[in-house]
Amino acid sequence: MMMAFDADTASDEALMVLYANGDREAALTLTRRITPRILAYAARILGGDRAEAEDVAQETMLRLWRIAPDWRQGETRVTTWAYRVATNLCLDRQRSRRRKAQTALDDAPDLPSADPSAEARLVQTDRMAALHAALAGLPDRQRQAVVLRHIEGLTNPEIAAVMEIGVEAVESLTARGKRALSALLAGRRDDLGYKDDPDADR
Amino acid sequence: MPTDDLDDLFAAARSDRPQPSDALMQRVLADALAEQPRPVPSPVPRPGLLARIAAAFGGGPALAGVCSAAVAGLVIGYLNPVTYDYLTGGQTGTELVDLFPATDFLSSEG
Repeated sequence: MMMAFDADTASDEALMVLYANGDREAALTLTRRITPRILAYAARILGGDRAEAEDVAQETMLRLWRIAPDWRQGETRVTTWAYRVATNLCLDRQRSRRRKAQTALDDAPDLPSADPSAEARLVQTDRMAALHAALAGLPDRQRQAVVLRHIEGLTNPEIAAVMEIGVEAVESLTARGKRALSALLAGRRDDLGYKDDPDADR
Repeated sequence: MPTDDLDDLFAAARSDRPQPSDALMQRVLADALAEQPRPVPSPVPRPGLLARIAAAFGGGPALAGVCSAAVAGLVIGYLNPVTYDYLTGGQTGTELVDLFPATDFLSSEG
């Protein structure tokens, strides 16, 4: 018999214990909570390659299930651990395809958009493709730090835990990464619709 | 690109997060259930040595009775019964109890 609990409010760490004790509801909740975050992160790091990002997300989750019985409470957060594993898996994949040409801007895969306007959707698609291409031009560590900070919304201490470096190093990586992104996208501002965007005049 | 535009691009990326397909979620959940430890029934604890001895004698109370009888036997065997003569008035000797003083008539004929 399983103990009653509110899966929606239980912490990830509590769900890990419940999962290890055979609770199926905990497995479902952890899957719903963590898989989308890891998939999105992996997609950004891998230049929008959806298929590879799904493989990374599934492999990360598989490792999470396997470590659950030995999970040490209070040592690290589940999401931090998952981001760290995903980072390493992405690095492995990037190393293996290093010799291949960088994803060309025109070849960047389309991403779904919630924008109802077709024109706005095209602009959004172009912008995401440009962002992915620019991110792909960054060194690995800068790309990880920028994505975790500015897209995934993690704090600097959380990123430091994921990347196993100091907070100051994270600040340095994100600052340099952001400057490099600005430089990489400098010539594309008009192409990406910022010229006509009233917000661009802020 | 100005910082504002870059921040706008980041914000657009945050709102345009790729969503996992149903197939991926199903695969992850299938992995989760396949890897999930099965709850094992708690093993029945093996009875200790004393419990097994007690069981051999028919339970704890029976063992207590056997032990009491053994101790009583040792005490009676160790102590000199003569010392209890003051209680029995020296009537414990079997030589004084002759239930059938004359049994010859049982074996005689006629």
